[in-house]
Amino acid sequence: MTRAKAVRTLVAALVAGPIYLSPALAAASDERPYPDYQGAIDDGNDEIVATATLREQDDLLNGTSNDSASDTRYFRATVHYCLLSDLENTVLRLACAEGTETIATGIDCPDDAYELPGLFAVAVGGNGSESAPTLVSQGTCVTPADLRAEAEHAFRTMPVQPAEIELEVDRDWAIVNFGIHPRTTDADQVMDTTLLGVPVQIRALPAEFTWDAGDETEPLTTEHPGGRWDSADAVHLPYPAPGTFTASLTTTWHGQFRITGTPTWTDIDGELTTTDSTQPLEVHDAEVRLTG
Amino acid sequence: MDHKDADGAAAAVKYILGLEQQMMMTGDTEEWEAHSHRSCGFCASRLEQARTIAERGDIYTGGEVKATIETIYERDAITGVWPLDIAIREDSTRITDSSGEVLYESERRIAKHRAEIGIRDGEWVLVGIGQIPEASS
Repeated sequence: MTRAKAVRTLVAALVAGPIYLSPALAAASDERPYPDYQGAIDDGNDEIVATATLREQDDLLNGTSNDSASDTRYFRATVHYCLLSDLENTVLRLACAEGTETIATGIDCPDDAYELPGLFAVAVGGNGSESAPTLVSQGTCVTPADLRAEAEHAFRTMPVQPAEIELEVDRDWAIVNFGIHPRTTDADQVMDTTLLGVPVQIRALPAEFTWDAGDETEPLTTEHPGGRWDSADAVHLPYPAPGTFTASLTTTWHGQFRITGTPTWTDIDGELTTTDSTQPLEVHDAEVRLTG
Repeated sequence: MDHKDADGAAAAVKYILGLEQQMMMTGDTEEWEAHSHRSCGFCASRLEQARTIAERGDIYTGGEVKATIETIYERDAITGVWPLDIAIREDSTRITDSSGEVLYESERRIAKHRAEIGIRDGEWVLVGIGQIPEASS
């Protein structure tokens, strides 16, 4: 029992007179009830409507929050809390018709944002009955900035297929100093996913290609994917000495993301690498033989 | 408080909560009401108690409320509300009736809360005082 309650109960027990009946007695009496005074701290129990983070909301929806109750069902709906529509700089002023407390309509978000509906909760009874929905968090315009950390995590774990190293002529041998001219394709890879309830596309873009002949020569790094042997982009791995070598291509990927359906890609910090290799190549000395 | 930004929001929360003690002591609710939003249950509850004290002629002693700002969050784009985490210090409080009988008493306390504040017709209004949502795992 708190001290406040203790005092109140003590007063109710000791003071004679109609005003100080205990609450239970007061309820059964026509006399004026005892005032239910409280401290300011006791009254600080308003529903917080604007501050559940996207992560907190997502955890509630997915049942991964410490606050998730097994008998509560969470869902999203496009209902906004129009009671706040008289505040300045709120889009609710536009969305809420005068006199309405709630409204089932959308909110205009910027082109690069996503309208995330409000989060509601209903308590599910033992017989399957459900309580009236309560608003957990209002709908909001989610911008790429809100998703940056989640996007970076998604990119780090993105299953990027290695850019394949291809030889101009598909063979398992080469000649000393003529070597090979490998190349690859520089196609983006796009993954559709959902981050904090928002549909998002993650894009991996090949940024650098490192060509390793597998012999003692230094690897060569290019920003292009190579090309025909007679083009400016041709990559030449000459193999100055004979032997058996496996050439490889390590591709460095940069990441971008955007909210699905929006036009602008946002850069993601960090990079990924993938590696692909040729089959073993037999490199031969070309022997000059005069004939005739 | 004249600035309609995060700093102004912080100053306004401190100012509005600082009105509470005077309202309880004098029964003058005008300034409190001017800075209370219709959705603020905390505001309404405090207002009701101030009116009851005045109506009954009870005496409010102590109970100075002082808010310390701990975190100011970004303004909510939809509602225009600034959320803030605050520590409320409420000095020891006593409410007695006209005969001196103690009706309510509490010791000095400090508690952390989430406050929400917005601007209505150019004036800061308290939108709510609630519990700070627990950090998700």
